Amino acid sequence: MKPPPFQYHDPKTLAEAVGLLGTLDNAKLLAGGQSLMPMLNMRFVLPDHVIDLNLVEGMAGIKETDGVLEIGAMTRQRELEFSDLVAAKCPLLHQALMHVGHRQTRNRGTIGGSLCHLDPAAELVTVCMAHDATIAVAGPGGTREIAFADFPAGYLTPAIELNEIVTAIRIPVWPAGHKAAFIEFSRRHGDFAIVSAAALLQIDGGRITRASLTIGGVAVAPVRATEVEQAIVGQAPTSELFAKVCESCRSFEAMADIHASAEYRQHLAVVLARRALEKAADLADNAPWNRAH
Amino acid sequence: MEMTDKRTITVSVNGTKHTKEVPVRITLADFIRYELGLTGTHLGCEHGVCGACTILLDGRSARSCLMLAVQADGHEVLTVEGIAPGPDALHPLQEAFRDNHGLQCGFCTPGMLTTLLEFLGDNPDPTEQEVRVAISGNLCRCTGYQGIVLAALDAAKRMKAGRA
Amino acid sequence: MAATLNPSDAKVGSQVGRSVPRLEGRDKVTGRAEYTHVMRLPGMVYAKLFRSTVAHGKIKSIDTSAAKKVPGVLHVVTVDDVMKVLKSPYYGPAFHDQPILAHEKVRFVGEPVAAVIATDPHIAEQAVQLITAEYEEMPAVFDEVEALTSDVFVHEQLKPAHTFADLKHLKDAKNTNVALSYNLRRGDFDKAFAAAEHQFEHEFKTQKVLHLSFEPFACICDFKDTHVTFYDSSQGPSFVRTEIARLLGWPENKVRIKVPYLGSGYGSKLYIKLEALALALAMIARKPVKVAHTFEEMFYQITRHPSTFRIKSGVDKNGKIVARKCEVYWNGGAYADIGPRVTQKSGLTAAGPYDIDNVWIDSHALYTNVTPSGALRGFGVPQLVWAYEGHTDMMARALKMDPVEFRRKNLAIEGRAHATGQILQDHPIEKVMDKVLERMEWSKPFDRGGNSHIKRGRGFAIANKAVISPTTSVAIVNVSADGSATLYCGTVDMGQGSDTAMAQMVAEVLNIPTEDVRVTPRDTDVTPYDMGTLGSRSLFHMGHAVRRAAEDARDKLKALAKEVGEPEGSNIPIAELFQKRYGMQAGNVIGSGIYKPDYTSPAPGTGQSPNVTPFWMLAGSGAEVEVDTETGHVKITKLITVVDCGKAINPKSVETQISGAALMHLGFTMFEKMHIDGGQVTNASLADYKIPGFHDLPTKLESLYVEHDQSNGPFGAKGVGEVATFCVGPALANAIDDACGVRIMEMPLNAETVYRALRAKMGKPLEDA
Repeated sequence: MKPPPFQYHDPKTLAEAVGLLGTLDNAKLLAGGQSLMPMLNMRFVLPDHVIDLNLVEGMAGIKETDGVLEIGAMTRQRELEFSDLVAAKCPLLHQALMHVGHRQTRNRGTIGGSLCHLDPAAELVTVCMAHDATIAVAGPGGTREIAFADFPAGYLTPAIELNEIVTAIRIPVWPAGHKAAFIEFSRRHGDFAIVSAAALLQIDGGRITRASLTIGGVAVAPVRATEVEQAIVGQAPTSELFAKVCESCRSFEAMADIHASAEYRQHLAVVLARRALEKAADLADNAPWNRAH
Repeated sequence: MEMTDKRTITVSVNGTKHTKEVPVRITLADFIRYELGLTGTHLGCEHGVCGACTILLDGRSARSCLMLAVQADGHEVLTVEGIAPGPDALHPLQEAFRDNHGLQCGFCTPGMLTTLLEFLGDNPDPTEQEVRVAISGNLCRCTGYQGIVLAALDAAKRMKAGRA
Repeated sequence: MAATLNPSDAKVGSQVGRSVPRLEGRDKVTGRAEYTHVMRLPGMVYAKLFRSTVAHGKIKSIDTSAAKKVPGVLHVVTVDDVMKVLKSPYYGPAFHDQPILAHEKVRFVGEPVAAVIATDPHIAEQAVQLITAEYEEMPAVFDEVEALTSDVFVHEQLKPAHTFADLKHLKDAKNTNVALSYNLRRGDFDKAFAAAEHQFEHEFKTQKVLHLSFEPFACICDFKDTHVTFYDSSQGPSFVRTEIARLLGWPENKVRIKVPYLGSGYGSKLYIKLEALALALAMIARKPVKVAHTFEEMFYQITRHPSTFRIKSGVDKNGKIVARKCEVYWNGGAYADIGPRVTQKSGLTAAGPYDIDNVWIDSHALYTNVTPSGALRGFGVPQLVWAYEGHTDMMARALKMDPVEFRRKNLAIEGRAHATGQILQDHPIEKVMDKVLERMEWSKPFDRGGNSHIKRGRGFAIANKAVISPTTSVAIVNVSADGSATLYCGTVDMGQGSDTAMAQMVAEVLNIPTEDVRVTPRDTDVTPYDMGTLGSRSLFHMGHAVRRAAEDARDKLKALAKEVGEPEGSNIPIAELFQKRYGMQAGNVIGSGIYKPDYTSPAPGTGQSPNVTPFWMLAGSGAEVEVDTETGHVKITKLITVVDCGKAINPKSVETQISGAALMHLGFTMFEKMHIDGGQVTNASLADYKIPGFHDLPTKLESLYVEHDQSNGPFGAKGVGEVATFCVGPALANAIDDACGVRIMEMPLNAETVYRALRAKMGKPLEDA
């Protein structure tokens, strides 16, 4: 199992990287390598050029400006995992990171790399969808921003041009005191989920005032359960309510593969949606599926 | 067209600096094993799942099959051969693995050791559950894992005693 | 302290029974242990394989022209090239049915069709991608039951090797996929079944799973015109030598097999795998050639047998099983490998550890168009136990009998005859079962769970296996002039700890510390014959040979003492003894030992034999589970496995063998499966074929043994490599049934399977959308 031959480039600036990407044919960007390297080793991809982004300056870092968490695309998952800012401002991301791969892969893997690989069950993809994140990209014509809802163009395919590079992820944070829950059903801890659910709730005066519910792993990209979101806003959070409204998740279009059939994924979407909402609303503290593994 | 793009890199491995010209497509694992002859870093699945090839890059565990050798230019690598403090001594972590039957065929062992070396540095007094989580990115087909968990907990004790 | 002839403080059991840390432990924790997969020889070149993309077809053409043009490529080899150096390119332990590279036909997706030899593995792999082949596709057969009656035949004509007498009648057989049918008849099944008060019939299945040793298959062949040397990741160097000598038409002494440590094997690296190919390529390249698989390629080398087991039992009004019929179909894949032996040696235990007067067993080895099947830690027995222990619980439930009492009524205890007719000795099955029940606290009330979605349950299973027989082991113990001892034995330490255990036996006999015994690396030029490291036979068979060799050395040292005039009972240091005899530090004492147990072949047609095996392996497992009835997810909160080990030579090694086997089998039971679509494996990677990780460890995993002295065993011991695999599957299935009332007849018991079964039971199946 050996990578095919290719030429290697290690630009030091974003402009240089964009320049290379715009001029070289059949080039691949190398970020943390946790998705591209296996595909190179297995020769699923055969690029003529590999452009390594690891030495590009200014592409990593986490900061908050005006209620938006801005994360450089080359920020490693480990930095996010141990970031106090992330834990305080974006608890959903913090929870989700604990499900992302393993210590060794988080040490190298980057948020931008994960988003561009766009596995439909990847935790970070689901979180970005849940948070209505924006993706910043740079290309020969300058920079632009893409709403995350428009980012997945298909299975493993982000809606960016071949000559564009994702530079940052902007996550609008929810007000302090909001509730977050990320749960997943995976064959094995650290594997991509078969189905995952991310819930964000704002509860004021015993009523849900804002809700976000995202299901990953069911369709080619994570899906927002907008019907559920609309149905629970204005209501008091109860298990009965969640059970009733989450049934609508069964109608999501679902993939089938060797790990799960489409109808089982749809069923899990219903169950996980309810459980994520219950967990976010502190209704399921003692549920066995919420206990430590 | 044969593209044998090559680069000269300088990597510190187990405290020794090596400057070599390498084909850019070779992985860090192959560089360590074939160019430097440090065959203790084992290649299992070669796609980042088994963890056997785990090394420390600047003190942080990483899968050496998922890195290009050129990416280690200017960095420090620690492999299983560099864990022991000297030719006559073993690191307490190595002793704990040997004494607790924390290995059978030994093929996964180098990756287990490097992963735990980083983890026990971060968390010198872990619970069993924390050990299981920390090392969950390493697979072993032989032992049933129990001996490995025991060895890790015993190593933490020995390392603490060594510092006391 | 220097070794002496008769130490006054010598104690029986000072070395045997001690948890000696493994002798090679230091090498393994420092990265210094040698494995074939990481070895390189000067001047060595590398081979990579081009594989079939069709399951069954005639080869119309192979185009290697583009591959040949890649700089660095030395040869691109097809079977025509192979046949120029080896006239008959077919090999195998039971049948000479497997071609070194596909010959005229391909018989499974993934079969090697051509090989590229290059100066660098990267180049070889790149060139392989440039090879193309055209096939005339033929209908294929994949299912083992269909293969029995199918008119698709995997082989035109059967070619049994000369090794096994019961295969001779299959020579040149045509129009069949049956590579052996083993039959056992005891009493009159039909009559007893018809007369029985209760009649039960069930069909169980197991899926295709594989070993996935962490060191993939690897072999280096260094061919010279006068001799050939292999560096080989093999569990059976003696067999490899014999088979390579046959292919070359050479005497065995010109063939040398060297085996460093193995990154495990579990049965995959037995008999002959890459060696014949490596030989042919080295003869063509005239340089050392290395063939080393990737993880993906292991899916096309060897797997465990999928199986279908139709089991029928008649039970009388007292709950006594009076009749049992077992029809077992083994899916052998495209080449027989050792499948016919699995079919027979496991087939004879298909009726389980029960005392049944009327037994009928038909066990069929079948060719199909998938990756070959062979030995995998248990040699077929786990597939059998999966069926008969599920069947046992299902009958108990239907009879409204307690599963413990139902088993107790039917256990085959010592002194009773096994289905083969052999009178059971050293068969404390009730002791093993009792220990499982004790650790499960079976007699205490059981908490069935307080949450509406979570149902708790528990179950257990018991089993036995006859060690494969008759097999031979030879060992040499060499005492050097300084008194140090070296053991030469062909048992391959692939992680099970055999080097340490064998050294403990030598040390026990010679009254020296185990740590002072050196075990030589396996090398057929040096180490004597051994049948192979397989079937839990080594500790018993090689253990006997090692003990005899050590005793022989000890006796010769005593004779030497007498010769030099030492008084009876002298405790002269061994080094002085040699000094006295040879005038300086010179000379050796060589002890040798050989062991082959007595054996009587099963009678053709009835399978009856008074002595079919020298020892029985006994196991029991108990499981507690929590089933999430909303998702089908099963959490294993407790898994207890108990085996009878005779005597634990190295207690920690025994425990690790049990925990490792149990967890491996947990994987086979709960989720491992090779998905095959039209003959194509669709999850041939560790990313898509899941094996157990740390998080799959049950909350509580107990690995226990009972020590029931094996009266004919070395130091009372017997092998434990496989035994803990037997019962994990049915114990879990029985626990799931107990928890939520669903019975799953086919592995794996993954969440979707359990959830679908729950929905089916509710009458609301999760229909295809």
